[in-house]
Amino acid sequence: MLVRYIARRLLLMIFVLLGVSVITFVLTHIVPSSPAAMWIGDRATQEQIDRVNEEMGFNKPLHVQYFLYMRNLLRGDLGVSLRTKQPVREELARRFSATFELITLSMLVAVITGVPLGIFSATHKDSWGDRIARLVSISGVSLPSFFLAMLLQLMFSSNWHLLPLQGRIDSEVLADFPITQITGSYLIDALVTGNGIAFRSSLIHLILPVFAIAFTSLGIVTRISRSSMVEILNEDYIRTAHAYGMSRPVVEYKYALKNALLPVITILGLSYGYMLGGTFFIESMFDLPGLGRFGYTSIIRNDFPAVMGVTLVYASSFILVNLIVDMIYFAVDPRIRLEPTEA
Amino acid sequence: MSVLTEGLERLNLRYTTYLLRRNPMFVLGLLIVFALVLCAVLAPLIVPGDPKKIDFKAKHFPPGKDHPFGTNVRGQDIFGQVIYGTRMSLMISTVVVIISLAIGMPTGLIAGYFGGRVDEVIMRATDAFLAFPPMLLPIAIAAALERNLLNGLIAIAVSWFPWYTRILRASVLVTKEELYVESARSMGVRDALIILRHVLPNSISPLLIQASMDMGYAILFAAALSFIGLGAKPTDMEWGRMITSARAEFIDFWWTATFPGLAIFVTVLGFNLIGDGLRDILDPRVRGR
Amino acid sequence: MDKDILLNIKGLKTYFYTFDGVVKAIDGIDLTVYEDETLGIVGETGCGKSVTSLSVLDLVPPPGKIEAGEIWFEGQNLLTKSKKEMREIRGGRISMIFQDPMSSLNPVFTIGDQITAVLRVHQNLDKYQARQRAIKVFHTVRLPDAEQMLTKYPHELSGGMLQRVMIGMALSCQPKLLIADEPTTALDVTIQAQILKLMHDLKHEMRTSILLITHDLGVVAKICQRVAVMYAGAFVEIGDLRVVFQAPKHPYTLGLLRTIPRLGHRRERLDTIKGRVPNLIHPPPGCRFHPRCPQATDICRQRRPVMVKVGAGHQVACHLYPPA
Repeated sequence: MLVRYIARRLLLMIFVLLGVSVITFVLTHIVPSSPAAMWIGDRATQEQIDRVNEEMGFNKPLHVQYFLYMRNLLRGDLGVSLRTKQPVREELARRFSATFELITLSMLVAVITGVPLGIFSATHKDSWGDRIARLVSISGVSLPSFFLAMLLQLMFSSNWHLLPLQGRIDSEVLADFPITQITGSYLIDALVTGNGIAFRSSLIHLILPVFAIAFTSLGIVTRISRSSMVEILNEDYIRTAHAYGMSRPVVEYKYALKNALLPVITILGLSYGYMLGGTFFIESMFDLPGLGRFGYTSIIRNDFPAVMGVTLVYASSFILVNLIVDMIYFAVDPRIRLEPTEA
Repeated sequence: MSVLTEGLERLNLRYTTYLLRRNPMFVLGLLIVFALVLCAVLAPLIVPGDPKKIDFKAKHFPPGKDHPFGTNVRGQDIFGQVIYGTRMSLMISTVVVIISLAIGMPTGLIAGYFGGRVDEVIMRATDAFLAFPPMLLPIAIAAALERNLLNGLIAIAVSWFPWYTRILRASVLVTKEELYVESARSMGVRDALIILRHVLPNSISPLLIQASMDMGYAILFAAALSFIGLGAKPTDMEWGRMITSARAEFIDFWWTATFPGLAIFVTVLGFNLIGDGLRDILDPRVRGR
Repeated sequence: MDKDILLNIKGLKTYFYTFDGVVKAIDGIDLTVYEDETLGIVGETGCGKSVTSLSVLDLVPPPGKIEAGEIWFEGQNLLTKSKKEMREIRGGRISMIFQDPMSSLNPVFTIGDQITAVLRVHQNLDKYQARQRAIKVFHTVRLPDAEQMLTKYPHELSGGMLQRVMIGMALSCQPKLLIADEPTTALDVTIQAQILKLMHDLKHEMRTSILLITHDLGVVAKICQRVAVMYAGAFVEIGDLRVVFQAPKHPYTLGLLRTIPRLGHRRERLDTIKGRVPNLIHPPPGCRFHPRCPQATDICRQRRPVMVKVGAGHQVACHLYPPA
């Protein structure tokens, strides 16, 4: 039964991705600029433009172009970037790990900090700790991440010289202590190969970007954890637990917590989506060679194969993460197991 | 009798004072937004002179007597720009939320109330929209259209309305099972009337809460679009734009981006507090005291 | 009938501090529960019967607070006990079951988890022993498939079965007193009868007293030996079931009994008690029932009546029966 549920969700995912691809394709093609001109570069002559249009199929009707694109997609060919002239697939692959590193670390930070903070807030409702936690969480949601990034750079890098301004790693460190490429993630590879200096350097470079991205999600996670826990603590079965002599810590951390965490799990999927969006700005500002920065530049320059590529990768990972989140929810909440319907 | 109308009935002075005393954060939010509106309306009175006036001799002045927020690279008074910026921000909030609601509400009502094929179709469509990570679609749409502020706002609104559809649909699904709806239907009341008089008022609370917070988020998103260069023009007095323009010199002249940034922060905070407060107030458990 | 006193409530006052004022939910009540009996507390919604039971176990939720009184149980005043001591009593010496069993059990833990937790808190059992005892408990409450029951979740069972689970949980540590707050209100009528019979039988087996709280006179008639009628935060009549039901003395009790429609009697209209339940923030002066009482006199408006003995084990609080 579980297998059928997963199969159904995956099928749905494909349809949704199809929808996403159509929307993105249309959007990137109604832009007035000429892809051929972009391909050729400055001072393109009309003759050259016509030739490129013919060669690369830019003059075909839109739906034909779309079919061609999808057909190539199924073969694993995502086209060629108009700007860098490299296959999109390679560009994406090269930049994937930097973004992955950033987002994973940010998710961890948001969850490990946000959930305990929210729970603490709920169990000490209306205390000063609660008020401060709520203030922090609401600030997280109200602050633009790019502004936060600028502030962080100003304070920690420029003024106090505590942390590096930009970059993924100290270039000197990378030259002296090169990292053997296994996964592409500097942190993991350095750790696994015992390259302490490089590990430390990349970690330090990640502190500000991670904080900038995680702060917003931290706000959301704290808030949901808190409101969920408060609601659960008002439930009848908590009264029952007290009525049978359970002590407060047991009631809260065993009986209430498990129920309270369910909505939190759902929100993690959404937070992940927000973080994906955040990468556009944060990677650009901190000069991290990831998908976000690539997407940002591609959009500005109307490099539509690149934009399609980034969009499809982001959208599929978002859907996938939400699917995983739903499955975790499915596994944890016994009430759902009888009827696996879509949310 | 919906939660809303019941609440409104009880709104005498005493109860209102009680509500406000129990939700100080809500009051704070109201005050912030009120101050915002005041700034927008009274801007010419608050700001001496023309904030757009360029004066290269006054370049990069730190905050001081004549310029409480300092001046930017072109010698323009940042205080004046921030205050006038409230007009732009409020316009952004209103336009985005209204367009979003205008599309989202009807679709949500129809999908939730009528169910069946219509519901399926609407749900699949919103699925496609909601599959995009939140920031991605506005950027993509704004990049596709001609690059101006209005298109940016339309981009945001179009990316957002599926949320409203979903939220309203979820409430409607619950409300339409209520007994008073069933009895109205059995009396032969037309569907349209049932929807408008019974279903809508009782399912609108979550939507209202989200919409009031979204007034703030609209400004955030618009600022983000400006940051990429897709929203406001460089000469517009929009807070996001101001931050973007100051990006290069911010490190050396902290005031050029800090004040517009704080303005965004305070504004979004205000709307968030209102939304939070509304949620506490409209909570059916609080009703019965 | 010389039974020992199990629970003795004296002068209990529990107030709720709300926005509109102080709600005097219970304003000075006295009640005695004897060993090995079933005592029913009857009254309309909002009369304070649930608050009474919650006060005994110190489970009154904020903004409620026990203001005054003594609750004597096993030679000690419960209101002076420490939190730790109360925790040992709750579920161990005094147990409570609630109205809606579906919402009273934690949905994400199995029945087995929840009941073994109770067993292990009050009795020093290891996991295996607790499971074995849980199975025995399930047998006692006549649940089918006792072993399977351990792995089931609350939502998989019906209301009636869940209430059996709750009763089992409540009696598992052999308390001296079981407080049952509207245990059958959320159940079908046919299931009601089963549950009541179960409670009755178990009480006999285990020599537990039951304090049954309900608004349903029919339920009281089925298993209670004594009944205490409550109105607006005070007891108006307490006595043996037969006596009170057949020869009620308090006008309110009379009114209540008259509202029960009887088979074979043809009526055009149902009898009701005129008026509405009073506001407990500003209760009427004197006897709280006087605005609705067909036999009210001047003194009823001025002074609150005291509980007076009018027969063997029968007390009334009404000016019609003044102290000798």
